[in-house]
Amino acid sequence: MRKFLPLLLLVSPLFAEQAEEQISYNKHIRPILSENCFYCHGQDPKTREADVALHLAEFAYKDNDGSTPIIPHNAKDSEVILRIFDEDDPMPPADSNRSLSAKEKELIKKWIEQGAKYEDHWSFVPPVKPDVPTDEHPVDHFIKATLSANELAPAPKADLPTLARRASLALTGLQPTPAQLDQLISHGSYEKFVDELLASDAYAERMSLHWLDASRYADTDGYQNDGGRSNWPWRDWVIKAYRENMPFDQFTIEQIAGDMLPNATPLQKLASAFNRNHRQNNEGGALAAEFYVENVVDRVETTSAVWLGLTTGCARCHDHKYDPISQREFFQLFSYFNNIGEKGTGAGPKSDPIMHIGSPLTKRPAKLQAKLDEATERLAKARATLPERLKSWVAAHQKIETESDWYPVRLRKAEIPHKQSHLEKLPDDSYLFHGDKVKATSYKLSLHTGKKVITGLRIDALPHGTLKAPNKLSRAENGNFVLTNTTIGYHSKRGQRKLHPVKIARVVATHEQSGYPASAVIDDDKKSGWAINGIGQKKASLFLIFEKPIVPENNDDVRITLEFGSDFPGHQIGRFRVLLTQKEQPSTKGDEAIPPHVFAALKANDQKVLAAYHEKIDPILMDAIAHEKDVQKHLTKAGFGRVPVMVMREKKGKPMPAYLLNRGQYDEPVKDDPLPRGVIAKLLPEGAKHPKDRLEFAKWLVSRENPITARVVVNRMWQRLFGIGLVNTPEDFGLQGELPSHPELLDWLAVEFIESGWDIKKMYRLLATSHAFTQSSKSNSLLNEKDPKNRLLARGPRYRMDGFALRDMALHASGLLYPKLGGRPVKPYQPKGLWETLAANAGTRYIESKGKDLYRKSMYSYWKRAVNPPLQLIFDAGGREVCNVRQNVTNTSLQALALMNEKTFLEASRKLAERMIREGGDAPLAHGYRLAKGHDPDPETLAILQRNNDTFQKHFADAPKEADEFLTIGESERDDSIDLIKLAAHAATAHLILNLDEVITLE
Amino acid sequence: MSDPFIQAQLLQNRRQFFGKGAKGLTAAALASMLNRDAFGYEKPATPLPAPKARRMIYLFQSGAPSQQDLFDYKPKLQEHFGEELSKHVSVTQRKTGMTANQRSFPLAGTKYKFTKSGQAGTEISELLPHISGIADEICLIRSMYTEAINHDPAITFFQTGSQIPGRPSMGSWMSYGLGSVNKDLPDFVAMVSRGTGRPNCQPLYDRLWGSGFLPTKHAGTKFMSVGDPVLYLSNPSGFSAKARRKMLDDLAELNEKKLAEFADPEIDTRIQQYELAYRMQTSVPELTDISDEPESILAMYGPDVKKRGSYAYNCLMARRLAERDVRFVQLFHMGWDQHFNLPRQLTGQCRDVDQPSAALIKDLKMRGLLDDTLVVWGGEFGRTAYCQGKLTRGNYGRDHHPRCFSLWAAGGGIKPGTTFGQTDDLSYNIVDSNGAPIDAHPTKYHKEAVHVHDLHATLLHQLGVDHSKLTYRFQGRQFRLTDVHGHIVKDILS
Repeated sequence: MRKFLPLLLLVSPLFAEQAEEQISYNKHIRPILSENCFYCHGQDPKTREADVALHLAEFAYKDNDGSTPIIPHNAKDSEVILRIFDEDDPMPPADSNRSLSAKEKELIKKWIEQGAKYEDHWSFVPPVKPDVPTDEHPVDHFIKATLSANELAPAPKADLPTLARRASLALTGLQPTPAQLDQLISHGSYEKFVDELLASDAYAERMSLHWLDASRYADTDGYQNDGGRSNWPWRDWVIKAYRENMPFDQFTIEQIAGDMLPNATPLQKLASAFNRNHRQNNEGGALAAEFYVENVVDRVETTSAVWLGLTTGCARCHDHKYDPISQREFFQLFSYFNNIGEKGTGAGPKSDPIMHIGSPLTKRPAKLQAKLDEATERLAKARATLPERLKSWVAAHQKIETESDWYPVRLRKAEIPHKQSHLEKLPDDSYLFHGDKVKATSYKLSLHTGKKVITGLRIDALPHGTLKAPNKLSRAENGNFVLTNTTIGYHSKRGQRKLHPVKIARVVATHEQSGYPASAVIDDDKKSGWAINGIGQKKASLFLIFEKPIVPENNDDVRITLEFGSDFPGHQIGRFRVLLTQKEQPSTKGDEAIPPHVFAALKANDQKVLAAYHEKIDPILMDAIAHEKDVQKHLTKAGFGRVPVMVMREKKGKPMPAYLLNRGQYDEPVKDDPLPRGVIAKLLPEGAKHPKDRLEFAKWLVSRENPITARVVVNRMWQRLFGIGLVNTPEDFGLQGELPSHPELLDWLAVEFIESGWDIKKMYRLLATSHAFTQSSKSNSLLNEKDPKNRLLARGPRYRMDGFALRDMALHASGLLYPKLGGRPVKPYQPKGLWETLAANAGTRYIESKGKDLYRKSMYSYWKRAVNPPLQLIFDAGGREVCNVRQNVTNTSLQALALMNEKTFLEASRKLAERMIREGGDAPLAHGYRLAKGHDPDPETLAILQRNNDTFQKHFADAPKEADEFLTIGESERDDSIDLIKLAAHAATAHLILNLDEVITLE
Repeated sequence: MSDPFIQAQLLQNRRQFFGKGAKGLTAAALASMLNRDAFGYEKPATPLPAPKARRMIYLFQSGAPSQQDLFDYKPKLQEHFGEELSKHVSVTQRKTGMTANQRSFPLAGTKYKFTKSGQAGTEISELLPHISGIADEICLIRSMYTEAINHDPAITFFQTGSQIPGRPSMGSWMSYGLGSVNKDLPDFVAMVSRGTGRPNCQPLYDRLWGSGFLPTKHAGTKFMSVGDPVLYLSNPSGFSAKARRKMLDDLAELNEKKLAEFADPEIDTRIQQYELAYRMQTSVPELTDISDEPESILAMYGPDVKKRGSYAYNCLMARRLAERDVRFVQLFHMGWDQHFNLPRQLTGQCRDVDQPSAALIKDLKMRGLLDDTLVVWGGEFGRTAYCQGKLTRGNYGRDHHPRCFSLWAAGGGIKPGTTFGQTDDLSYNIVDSNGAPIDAHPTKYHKEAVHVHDLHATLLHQLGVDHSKLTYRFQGRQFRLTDVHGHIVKDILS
């Protein structure tokens, strides 16, 4: 028996093969110098020691006080060699926490002897497409070459069902259905099957999910308050783009600068939300200037990681220690993204720039659209005809000779206790009540007096288009209300708790319904009140004249309570305003009460003031606005509404200046040196001009001249299919990043991608049809030792699916999956207490969705940044606080517990069992396996499943109560036509199937 | 099936499964499991020889307790009650958006009495009588400081060493650096309780115990206060432990079959993880079943001890976890953010934590666990000497103040019965032992001022880890909990 070596000790032989021949700076030397030397002898002059730098030939070859760090072809006199071999005073120094191995020292020595030739970092040199033979799959051409250099050979091709499942999981995140598989077997073409996958909505959703991770997309703002936001129409934009196979260059330009495209469409503007998916701080004490900087920095870091594969963030505080990115360049990049006039703090949905838009995936039903069109038109017409009405209104009102005794006031607060309904403030300072068939309630109002003495208060009940005829003064069936009690009090000084009650001397109303006199609002009877039935869509006014005037000390706080305590539902005043008077004997006629400044404007014929006032009170316009709002609300309820989305909107005029921030601190700008916009110089060809604005920047990202973007993007595509990238540091293509396992293949793919017109589906088709992807994924001890991470691809990919897919696959197997595309996020099952125990507000609750929304794809689950969906957290998802392009796959006991006991998985077992029995004929277990896995089980597996099923049949027969309990998990209905014990036993076997390594793993 | 690798794996599995006693993993199995998890990647630093502490319990007081009212007595604030801050000190600390526009910054003296406690005569507020009672066990640091001024960045900084999310939390660094001792429980457990002084307060977030870029297995496991203590721990109703065992046996058999065929070491790890999950189904309920605690012990923790989700319950749980050798337990008690109505809120907060915190120390000591258990008590920053909002003798509030605050530590090689560091007469600036102000900044180290990085470095040191060597490579850089800073505060070590 061969000795079994711990895998940790095995070094991948990937780059070792050429070591004995020509030493390459990029392959062999730079990684050593970068890790051990550049921190003190690299490009950051601030941390440079002894004025020695080794990162460029011009520094390294330079004589430095009589010694030269590197003398090409002369290792023995090179200072570097002297020092690294010096045992008394070695480099790197003993206390530096770094050291060179003997082999590394030899490599450096040999490299210097060979001429110490420096090379540009590979990813900064534009890729060149190597020639490939025409009779071979281009991917396999490169893979095979490396395999044979390592004395390995590719594995045989996997069988068709295995392949179908592998491609389906990788491209759609779902296992193939039995029907799909049957079809494939009948036509036998794997290529055709891949095309079908690429044409499916599931493909678009799967690719979008990866993009959401990279884009730190979430449904909340993050930071401490973590309030909700509604950027999901942007998520649907991404799905739509993948569905239509939008070329990646366009995909890039629209997301980075869609708002700046000439004649930008609403969808192009929506695309720019990519750069507003960052967190948004709404904490009480947060400083806007600080978080404006954080937001812009986040845009720079995200854009750099996603397109450039560079960790620019390091250069925020100082010149990058390893990559050629200066701090100055960081803030030059910053200046492409800082010009949208944002505030930096505040709740996301209110943080300008925002746009209101619905999902680009959902087309509104014709009927709803017609309603909206009608409402929009009516509103436009009401606006267009406003000047005519203004004219006649002015003419009529200029006849009024005396100023009104009453003036309307703006309330400070208007609330309803317990939030059972609410009051909406309208432009004319009146309030509209919203609430359906509400019984007893009260309005709590408050206002500030200013310095004026007040002698009385008047409440106007006003008609409104959304209130009910014939009275149109409330939401009750007849539009009537009953105001049962009114109390008034005031605080003589701010901060004082004691409320002075105001005694009412006299109550008068412009209209009284018999049996419901105005005087009833101040009697002791909580049920009696003032009502107005029969008034006929006119204003009704109530006058409360005080016994003693309120003589304010200083801007006193007046509190008014209007109680609606009658037994009639909906009998609250539908719309009202509050007026005050200073007159001792004010008129109680219920005149229009034009505010003093408007009265003056009437006299002076000041059209500007009059137009502004009239626009607010014009009933036709007001009704049209309310009607349009109602229709919008209805649309929203039906899922077709517009919601605020945070987008980019370049500010017009002079751009916001950008400065270098000392140590990256928001309050330490170097003001005397405003920075011009610019990209990282190293990525531009000699003498090329920097992009002048964000739009040009976006175009530059996907230009043929940009050496890095295409490589970064194809590497992520590779990672998605194979589980690990050709470069296993997908976020870092810089000097500290990993070298590609197959550099020529990466370059070939990058150029091919560009030449294909950035055709994403074409690239996936190419990768998915390679032998590298379609070979068997069986390993053995040799491969486990020689290539534990399968970088060489002598076997096909094998990795556990992510948590999103695991849940989706279980739902899919059980038939529960609700395949609706896009729309509002949903809230699936979640253990109690997750939101509740951490939230700021002790009353916060997670409210689960209902019905089919419990079974949407996991990508639509509400993503709260402070408390991520627990299943996804357990299965390694990124937290969406910041950009994440890496795929982590761990293997933990908490994952085992989740698959064992999470409600969705258990419910899926039950529903899968029903399908097994209903559809599986005489082979229910094989059918169940097929539904979950995507192809048939082998006989040995089936035998164990059968044994398991027999055991559980017996187990539950002895404990029917347990069977019943086990079958009541989840909201979906149980199929009662199936024998309880049989169903429970099959659910147990289904549960086993859904936990199998081979079912949760792509293989 | 002649592959030697597979043979070895299967042999091992059979030993574990078919001899399925209560024995748990063999050392060899464990070693191979750990190796395989690390799988060609990072290897944590080797621990220093003979560490002073074996485990840590961190009692985090979220929201920032007021040092002037609890630990840092300033008679001068009372003497100059209501006078302008600027009359007494040069005001250079930036203010939050909450008080930046305040017209006046009147000094607010505490309304509480302080007493000298213990042999060292440590001054502690009357609000904390029980903690005063353990004065001889603790080291009170009065010269803590931090950089952030708002909760989210500050607490993120305290937990991860960075204000920006994405870094691993303190506990996950420990799990990564030290590995586990108890094989049936997680390495790092977090527990949360809501303060009664201010129930509506600033929230907490999963990332505070998250693993950032470290592998997820190092993330803190949050013990829930409702439902299963560990998410998804219990079998569903109708599925008994017997049924679970049966299911897991068949699962193991099928997974082993797969392993034999595919030779993917991940399958083997998966088999082990299912077994660990099964063991946790027993070990966690055992842990949380407090019926074996004598009444005298329960009484020590105070009346809330039986209430799941209370701070007292969590303190008792912390002791039970320490007994079971869980490396790192972190409690988060919410509600210490007293902008207004400080006296009313602080009374409630102190009542929540005073007795249980002291009980935990005493309980650990009685069991001989305090020697090698490091306990820390404190929040994310301090509070202002001036009043936020209206100042009266009876009522006041304080805004955030990052420049100085107090925190205490005990056990695990910390010098007991001492105080360390001091602030000026207003608790505005840290001063040295001669009373001269210290310009505290992480790049300008001063041995009497304790930056958060310094605290982290010291805690890790006590646990036997050199903070400068505990690194993880991510995005092309070696990351540390202490970034590029951190000094060990030698003077507080015994």
